[in-house]
Amino acid sequence: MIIEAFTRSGLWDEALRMVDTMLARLVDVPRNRSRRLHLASLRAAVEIERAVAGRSLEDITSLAGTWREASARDQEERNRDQEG
Amino acid sequence: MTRRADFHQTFGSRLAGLESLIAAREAHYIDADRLRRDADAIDEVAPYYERTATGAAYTAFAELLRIGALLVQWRAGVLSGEADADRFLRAARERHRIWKGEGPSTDAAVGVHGAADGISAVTEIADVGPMLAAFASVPLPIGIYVSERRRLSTESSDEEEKQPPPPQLAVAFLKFSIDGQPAAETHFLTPGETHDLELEVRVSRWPDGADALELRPLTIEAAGAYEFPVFTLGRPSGKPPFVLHGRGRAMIKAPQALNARPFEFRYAASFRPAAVEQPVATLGQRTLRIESIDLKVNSLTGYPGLDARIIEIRDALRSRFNIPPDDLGAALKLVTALSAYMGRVLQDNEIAEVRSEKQFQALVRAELRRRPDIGAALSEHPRAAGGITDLSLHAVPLELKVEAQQRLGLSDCSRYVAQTTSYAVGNGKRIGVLCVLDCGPKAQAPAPADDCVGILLDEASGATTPIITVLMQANLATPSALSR
Repeated sequence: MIIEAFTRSGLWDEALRMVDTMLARLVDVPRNRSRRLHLASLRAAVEIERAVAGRSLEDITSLAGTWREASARDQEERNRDQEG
Repeated sequence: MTRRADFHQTFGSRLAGLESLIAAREAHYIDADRLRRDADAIDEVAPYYERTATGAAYTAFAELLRIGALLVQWRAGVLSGEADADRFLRAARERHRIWKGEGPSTDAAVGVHGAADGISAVTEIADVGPMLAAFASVPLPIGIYVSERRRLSTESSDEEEKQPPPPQLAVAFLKFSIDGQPAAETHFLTPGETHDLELEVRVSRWPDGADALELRPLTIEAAGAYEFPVFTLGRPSGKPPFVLHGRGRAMIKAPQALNARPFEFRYAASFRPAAVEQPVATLGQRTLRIESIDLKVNSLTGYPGLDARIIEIRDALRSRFNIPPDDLGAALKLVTALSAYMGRVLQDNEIAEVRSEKQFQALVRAELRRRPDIGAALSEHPRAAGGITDLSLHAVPLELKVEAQQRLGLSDCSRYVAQTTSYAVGNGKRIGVLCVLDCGPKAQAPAPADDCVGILLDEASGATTPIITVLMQANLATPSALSR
């Protein structure tokens, strides 16, 4: 997975661009909702690691809140998919 | 132990550990156990990353959290004037030395390892905050799972996704069990008795020329205090990855005091002979935290519910308040003795009539004097903060109160907490004990004993001095009198 490879190499901006590109390719329609939400939670995680790498620890609290929201929505959607 | 994990679990545990480190930079932070719990949570999910390199980075981060926990204990110990607080710094350095000596790691884990290199330069507690900030400033790769690939794919998937990951030699600890039960976060073992220790590991492949995989315990505990097995697992048949099982006997030779910290053992993996290829990563939960007291065999009070409550209180006091261990030990001795007495009073209605405070004090004094671990050390009527305390043990005050008019619950005892706090602070202590005898008339059945012991705080004084409170329910109605 190229996103993992980017983050393993510390290429945070490239990883974010990759996620954004993938998001742009997924039209915002119901059948893509699950994938878009998962990409959003992944993007929020990359943002956190980028802040860590930049020693911007004071930004972590707000970025963590963003990730937890995205993660909760992603998991809700996944659970709905599995029930459906 | 978790057998499957996903991105939300793994990154959630990573984020919790990161937030704990950030909070721990502050000098008032004392919750070392929170850092250890975060480390355990990360270790549990690390083996389930698709890429060994990513799992290894997470495992290394868990080790940083454990070293951070020792630094936090060192700082708290120095600030509270604890005897030999430097042992925590020595333990942190020793742990780092063992970790570095375990062999090569993956590229992704190298940066995490490097974050702790400055630990040898830590000499003052002012160095702890910057050290923990350095731990928190190491980014980790974002791991992806097989199950999530489908959700991440777009119409034009990347060619790289179709490439198989390069084979790496890794050992993942999947499960520890003791006497057939999964190892708990902190496991209780009876001292002087042998216990079955079983483990399950996953090996990504078997190196050429290797005869056996050896799993050896590493610890900073005194060598004579324990016997933990070295597991030697032979070459398996079939195709990789291999899941191997080991079984041995473990023993803690010496009993621990109630206020002693748990033993810690960590298993390292290597292939034999030493000249063959060695694991690039050892993943998973491989740290065992053991307490060598067994409440079933050596009960503290004779009442299992009260024993469990006292352990809960001890753990809460350790994680939330910075109390010197000697004072915590004295307070726990008092609470253990009072809880045992309270259990008897409740079970047999030993105090079946209204008593004055003077009478109650004589009863409690006699009860405490009988305990060999208290005996002569109990003082009566020492002065503190301009008043006279009822009893004290090594200057930790024990305040006694009697309520003869109305029935009390534990929270009702808050009205007496400010006075006990005042005595504790006047004695230069950060903890006190309050025991309230409820001997008023009863028209209801009593509350469960373990609901009658707890920590109360005087909010008005900043809630920094915990008062362990024991409520004795006495003068009980006979059960038949409660039937209507």
